[in-house]
Parts: sequence; C-alpha cells; structure tokens
Amino acid sequence: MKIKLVTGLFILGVFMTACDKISNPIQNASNSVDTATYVRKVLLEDYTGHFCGNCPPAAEVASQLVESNHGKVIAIAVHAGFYAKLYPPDYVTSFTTAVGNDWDGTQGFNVSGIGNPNGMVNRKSYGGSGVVQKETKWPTSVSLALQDQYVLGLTISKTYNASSRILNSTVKAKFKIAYSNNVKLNLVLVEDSIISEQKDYRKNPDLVTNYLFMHLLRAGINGSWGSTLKDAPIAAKDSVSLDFNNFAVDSKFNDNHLYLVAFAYDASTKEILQAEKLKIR
Amino acid sequence: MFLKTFKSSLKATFLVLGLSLSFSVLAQENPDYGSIHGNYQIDAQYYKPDSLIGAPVVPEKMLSNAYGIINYSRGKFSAGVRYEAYNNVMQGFDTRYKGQGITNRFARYQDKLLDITIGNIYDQFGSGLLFRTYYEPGLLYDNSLDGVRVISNPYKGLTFKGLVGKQRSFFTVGPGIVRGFDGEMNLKEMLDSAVSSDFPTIILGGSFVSKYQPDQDPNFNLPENVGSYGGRLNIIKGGFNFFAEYVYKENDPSANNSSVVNGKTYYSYKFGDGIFVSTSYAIQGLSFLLQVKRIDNMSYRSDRDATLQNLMINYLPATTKQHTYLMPAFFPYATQPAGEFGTMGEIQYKIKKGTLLGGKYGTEITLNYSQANGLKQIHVDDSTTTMTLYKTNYGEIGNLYYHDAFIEINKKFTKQWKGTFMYANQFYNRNIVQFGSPNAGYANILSNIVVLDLTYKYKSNSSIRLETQGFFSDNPSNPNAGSWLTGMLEWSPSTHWFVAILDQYNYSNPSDALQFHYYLGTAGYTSGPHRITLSVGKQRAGIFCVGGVCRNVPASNGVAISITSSF
Amino acid sequence: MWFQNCCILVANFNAMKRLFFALIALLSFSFIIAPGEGGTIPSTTVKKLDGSKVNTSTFSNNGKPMIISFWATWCKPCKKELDAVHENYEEWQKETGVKLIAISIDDVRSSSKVVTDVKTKGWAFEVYLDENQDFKRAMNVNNIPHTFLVDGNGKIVWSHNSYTEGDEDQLYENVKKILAGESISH
Repeated sequence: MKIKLVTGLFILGVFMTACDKISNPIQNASNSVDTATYVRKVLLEDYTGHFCGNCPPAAEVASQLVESNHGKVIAIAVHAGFYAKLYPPDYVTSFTTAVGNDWDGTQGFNVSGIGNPNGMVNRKSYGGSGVVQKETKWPTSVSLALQDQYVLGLTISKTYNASSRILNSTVKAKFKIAYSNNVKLNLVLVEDSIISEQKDYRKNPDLVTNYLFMHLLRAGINGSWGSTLKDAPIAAKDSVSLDFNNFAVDSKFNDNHLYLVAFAYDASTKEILQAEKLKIR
Repeated sequence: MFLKTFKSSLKATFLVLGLSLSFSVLAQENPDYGSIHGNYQIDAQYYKPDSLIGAPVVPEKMLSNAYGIINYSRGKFSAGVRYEAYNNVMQGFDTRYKGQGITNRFARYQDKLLDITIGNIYDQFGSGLLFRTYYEPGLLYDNSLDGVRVISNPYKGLTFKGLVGKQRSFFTVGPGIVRGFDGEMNLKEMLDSAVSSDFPTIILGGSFVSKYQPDQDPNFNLPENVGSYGGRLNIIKGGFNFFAEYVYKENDPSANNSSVVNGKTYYSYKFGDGIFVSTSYAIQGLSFLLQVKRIDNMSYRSDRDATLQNLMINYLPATTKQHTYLMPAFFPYATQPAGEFGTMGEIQYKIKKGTLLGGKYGTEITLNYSQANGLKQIHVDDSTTTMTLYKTNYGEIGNLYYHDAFIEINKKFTKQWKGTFMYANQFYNRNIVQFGSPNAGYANILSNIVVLDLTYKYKSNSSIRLETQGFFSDNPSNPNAGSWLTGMLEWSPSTHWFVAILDQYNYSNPSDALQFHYYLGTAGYTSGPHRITLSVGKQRAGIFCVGGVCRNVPASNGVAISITSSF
Repeated sequence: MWFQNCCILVANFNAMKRLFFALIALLSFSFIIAPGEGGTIPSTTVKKLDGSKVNTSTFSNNGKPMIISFWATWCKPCKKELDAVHENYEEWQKETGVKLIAISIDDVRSSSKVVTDVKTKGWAFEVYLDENQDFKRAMNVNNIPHTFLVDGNGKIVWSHNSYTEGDEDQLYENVKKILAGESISH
C-alpha cells in the first residue's frame, strides 16, 4: 500500500512538471496610444567599454528601447572598468568619468565587476534577478518600470553661454504623492553622436574605427551621488527647486550634442523615481 | 538593511557555535547526543600592485574568503550550517560575493521508506545533464537548491527522488523555481535471488526537470515553464561498464541563446538535447575508456537572464583529460553549452614487475586523446515566426575547439627514486573557449607541453621533489600565450612541513622588458586534519578550473595565507 | 560561560574584527574537541564499482581497524598515497587485518576513469564512488587527499589532510597503535 502511494505520488508529480511549448514567440505590438498626464520616465544605464567586443549589441538594445518608447526611456552609456581602459595603439580615447567610475565601483553598483555588458533599469531589481542585468532583461524591466507608480515630476531649465561655455541649470521637482524616504537628485552631462574606436566581435576584424557612440556619460554636475532634493517626510504637492550654476563645459565636448540628464532617487533604496533630459543648446 | 541581515546571521552563527560546542562536549561523553563535525577554510591575500605583470591595484590591500561548516548527526537525523565571509572577495572571483552570512543550512531525516531533506540540497540526476547541484569552494561555485527533497526506496533496487526549490545566487536565491523527479531501478537488485550472481548489473533511470519563471517581456511570449526529460542506461559486467544518457529540453529562450541584430533581440526557441556515452573495459593492468558527448543548446538555468556560472541547473561534463600539472592545465577546456561534439579515448597499461621495461616496481603508461568541436549550425529563416533560428544535424560537426594528445609514463625506479614523464600536444580555440565568440580576434594556440617530475625520498618521511615543465607555443601575437618554462623544487623534511619554490618564466615574450620570472615561495605545515600554507611572490594571470567550471584570475603579487581544518 | 561573554563583547566591534573573533572562536572550538575523535561514520549513500548502492554507516571490518581515504583520479598526491599503501597492503593486512576503503570524489566527468585507474594499478582496496560528494561533505573533507582511521568499534580516531612521502609509514604506525589500544597523536 505504502509503496503504491509513494509511486502514485511520484507519477502525479511527473505530470505536474509542466512545460510550455511556444509556437508564436513574437507578441503582437499593442498600438494603444499613451495619454497619461503623469509619465514616469525610466533611466536605463548601459555599462560598457570600447574594448568590450560583446558590448555593441547591448548598446543597440538600449538605443532601440529609447526609440520605441518615444521619450519615456532615457539611456546613459557609462564607460567604466577593465574594458574602458586605454589599450594602445588602437583604443586611445578615454571615455571614463569620475562619476561613472564611482557608480561602477565596488562601493557603487559593481557592474563591471560582474561583467560587461550589463546595465540597470532605474537601479531596481525586476523579477528577482538583481539590480544589475543582462541586456536581454532590459526590455522586460523597462516595460515593468513604466508601470511603476508616479512619485514626482522633474523640470529642467538652463541658460548656456556658447562662447564662455558656462552652463547654469535649474531643476524643479514636484511630488505627486507623499513619500517616506529621503530623495536625492543627480544631474549629469551626456553627449550623443561621438565617433571613435570600438571593439565589436561581430565584425572581422573586430576593430571598428568609426563606431557611433550614443548617450555617453561625460561629466557629473553635482558629484556621483547628487544633492539632497528633499528629506523625508515628503507630502503630496511638495515642490523644490535646485540651482546648479557656473558649470564649465569641457571644450572637448561638442555642445551641439550635449544634454543634461537629471534623475531623482530614493536615498535608501537607490531606486530612481524620475528622470528628465534637456539639450543644452 | 544589509547590516541587519549581517548582524542576525552573525548572531545565528554564534548561536550555532555555542550550541554545537555544548553538544560536542556532551557528545564525547555520551554517544546518544549524536556527533558534531565541521570544517573551515580561510584564504587571505595581501596584494601589491605590479603594473609590469598586470597585477591591479587592490584598494582594500588585503582580501579574504572564509567559510565554516558545522554538521550535526544523530541516528537518522542530520543537520548542518555553512557560514561564508568575503571581506572583500579575493581577486578573480565574482564580486557579488560580498559580505558575510549563512548561505547553507539543512535538516535531513532518513528512514527506510522516506528520506526527507529541507534546506540547501545537493543532488544530481544521472550524469547531471539535466540536474546537478554542487559546491566547489575553490571556485566559489554553489548552485544548491534551497527547498525540499524526498527520496524513497519503495522496493529493493528502486529509488524515486522528487525535489523542488530555488537555487542559491550569491547571498540570496534566484527568481526561478526548479522542480525535478527522478526514478532509477537496478534490475539485478530488484530480481535479487531470481538471477545468478554473474547476471550483469543493469540500471535504468529516467528524469524530469522543469523550471518556472514568470514572463514579463513586452516583445516575446517566453515560456514560463521550461520542461526537460531524459533517460539513461548503465550496464556493468566484470570489468566492462557501459553508460549512456540522452536528455531533451523544450524551447528555452535565454540570454545564452539570444542574439542582437540592429537593436532587436532574437532568442532561439529551438529545443536542446544532449547525449553522453561512456564505455570502459578494464582487466588487471590494462584498461580502455571511450567517451562521446554531443550537446546542443543545453544551457539550462533557473533565471533566463543569468550568465557566467550563475544559476545553472544542469552540469555538462567536459570530455577532456583533467590535468594536474600547471602547464598542461594552462589553457583548460570547458564544455560549450551552445553546441559541442566531444570525444575522448584512453588506454592505461601497467608493465608488469620484473620485466625488462617494468623493472622492480612496474611501469604505468597512459595514452589519451580528446577532441572537442562545435556543431555546424544551419541557419533557419524563421525569425518572424517560430524563431528557432538554426538547426543542427547529427553527424555534422563544426570547427575544432580543442584537442589534447597526451602520454604519461609513471615509474618507480628504486625505493628512493620515482618519476613521471608527460608529453601533451594541445590545440586551444581561444576565441571560443575563453571569449565565447569566433571573432574575438585571438589566435588559436597550438602547444607542445613536457613535464618531468622526479621525487627522491632520502629518509622514511623526508623527500625532495623536482618538477620541470615546458610549454612551447609559437604564438608571438599574444605574449602570455607564448612559451613558458616552469621549475619547482619542493622539500618535505617531515610529514608536517613542506617548503617549495616555483618559478614560471615567459622567456619567449618578444619584449625583453616583459620577460619575467614569476617566483613563488610556499611553506606549509600540516598536522592531522589541520593545514596552514603561506606563500609569497608573484602569480601569473591564468584560468583555474575544477570539474569543468573555470574562472579567470588576474596576475598578483603579494603574500597569501591559507588555513584549512576539519574536526 | 566564556563563550557567551565573548559573544556580547564581539557584537560591538566592527565587521573585520567580528570576523576575526568568529574565526578565533572556530579555531579554538576545533581544538576543544580533538579532530574527528568520538565520531562514527555518518550515514550517506555511495556507489560500488558494480553500480550498487551502499550506506556508509555499514562500513565495517569485523572489529579490525579501517582506513578511509578520499581521492580522485585527477589528484596526483592521492594516487601517490594509495600507490604507497598498495605496495605494502598485503603485508599490512597479514599483520593487522586492516582494510582500506578508497572513496573517489570524481564527478561524472571522470568517474568512469575510477574503475580503469583502479584495475590498471591493481589496487586491492574497497573502492566506492561518491559522485555527488555527499559522503565527502558528511565527513567534512575540504581538500583531498584526506585520510581517516576508524577503530574496531567504528569510531573515527584520527585523520590527516594532504600527503607527503612517508606518510604511509605513520599511518601504519597508527593502525598498530589502535590494535594495541594506545592513543594516537599527530
């Protein structure tokens, strides 16, 4: 009897070991137009390096996500770690930044320590896979992040003197809901359309001399971890305005392709609550 | 938050230590209280940056890995905990091992009919092609299943196993749920007295494994449940042993079979399968072994976005020779889960004592050849429909990944002298094995390797050992893959002590300034189950593998200490 | 109890020191109970070379001492140790009735090499496969070779990690001491 019972249970278990056979892998694109007034924008960070031959596909995934989400996804490419070092004679342009190194480091999110390419979506773990994620996970995380609750809105304004290259910026924040943790604000400078060398294992030879770098992190305006936006307790409809004056834009950067990226984050969980961007000229 | 977990785990550790201490005192006096055993290992290294050999700056200066295990057992009951601490994790390991805590705990009750384990479980089905969880501290590999396992022997020779849980991922568990069932029957044991004793042992087994992970992808319909199944047969008679296992995995789109074209991700929804056959025949002094393996799309993880060594459900053994000397293991091979065809054949022969070639003690000769190739992937144009993307045919193999032709002669000359001579010819497709891409831009490495290992025992427990090794490779394009010479002198004056000096020299580097002697001095003390070793010097960058899992370790310069003990 | 006091003190220190103390505690703990002493062979399942399963708690040698040696086909010092014992095994068995049980921790990759190694070398030991390393874990073996001595009552009385030339002589001395009822030191 006991034997039959045990055997029966195991056979039952075998049938419960389900599997889903998929015959239609591709989902139909939904054509619903988003009419929400309050849009929680998503920050996608792509950690990469010019010596990382597996990184260009991830960069393409990031660009694709920016494009297909019509302004709701803001991407930053962060060059840091082993693959972002200089490797003469072919890889001699440095794209690393102090801010990027801090974010990437062991005191930050330890991304290149895990390997490149890897990235973060709102610096939050979706589906229990960890904060740092492979590019295959980004579309899922982005679509989930777009559904996260709207906490606050950000508005950037600036004045930029093209001859002196002095940038003054103001970030205004308005909370829609009450929030129980301290919130910080980080402001960085990002540049599009830089042409330089990149290793790409899909090419033979793998040295691409005219690779197009998009949304590349160039500099931090208020340090690696930003400034206090508002300390808890935060009530609904609270608003704050922060000024960042007299920032000198490096003459190496092409100011026609430069833009500010501001993001507000929860100081204790590090989750990014809102992001915004604005071209400097 | 982190500190809290840390504090509570620390408390738990002390509690366990305290408890086990009081238990153990009792245990010695009265066996009814059960027995306590444990072991620990502490590795620490002080790093000195050395830009010439490429040893990076380590901001912490000193890094350490440590673990301690305590097991308690009494009759049918056993339980155990493992505490791990990384402050911070040593160079070459995944830096997600950060901090400390209890990473493993289990309780088990074994009865005749049922054997139940809760907590962290290590087990394998068949050869592990579908399911294997194990712990390898040297590589920080631990994919234990945190869950429940039931084993039952309802009838003699018949075993059922069922388990469910989530896998360990650093200091937490992965997102996917793993469920598995395995049945095995030993016909000879089942039939027992009905068959004569020279009836061959025939073991039949079958397994089912399935993983569950929610699909939240906006672009794809990903399978939330990925099932896999397999069957195996083992026939043993006298010195003859035949083992074969075939496994099949349903569509499993994952980071491991994805590709990106123009920013669009494509997964392969193709099935995966694998076959592993091992046949051996051995008589006194002579043996043959033949292994064949074919693996196609068999990366199987409980998180479809996991990479590297993380969250693997199955184990794909490498059918290549596992080397113990440094130089032949310079470029070790690891199974390529995406697709591989591997074979290995080995003959071992011991020339009898008292013959001309056998001498007074006999001579052992091992001949081994192994080879691994990729599979030929045939493009399937279905990227907008079923998305399998490729197919493979049995019997069609792709590019060469690795070969190793190897001879070893082992001989004891006199009571004082013994020696080992080894020669290997190896081919290593560096782009594939090390960088996972055919276009990674590195040259293949073809090498000839020679090892001569001589031991002179000058007193009953005192000996001197000299190892000379050469790695000869014509590969000027890559300095670290050029030729190397290695010498090691080891002196063991008593059973307790040993002192060794190792020198590895990359004499063929085209730049004179980059030719280095990597000196490493090591001293060790062993007393029973306790062992302490201290080493000082330079270590070259390299790949270190245990059981088919490998890790890259950067060059280092400094002082390292290692303590292991068990009780 | 000193241990508990130490616990409270330690809780206030920083992480590095805590770890240090934890290790010291572990160290001292391990020396309080003599290594392996008093323990019996835990109950796990290993496989015979003929494929049948054996519970390790049933290992016995009719009241005579046993040597349990953990090894693997890829472990050079392990094979050296077993070769050295092999050379003297007949003599040892005649004099003391001692039995050696060799536990291979080879995984699937190399476990099929166990039988070929054993046969070629002509070892007359009892050899078992511990493919899943259950027995290795239960016996708390970190590194191999690791050798245990079990007395006639099934108690583990001595263990040793690593092998250097001549260790087999000490091992045999200890076997003889067990038979004579003497205590063993390291």
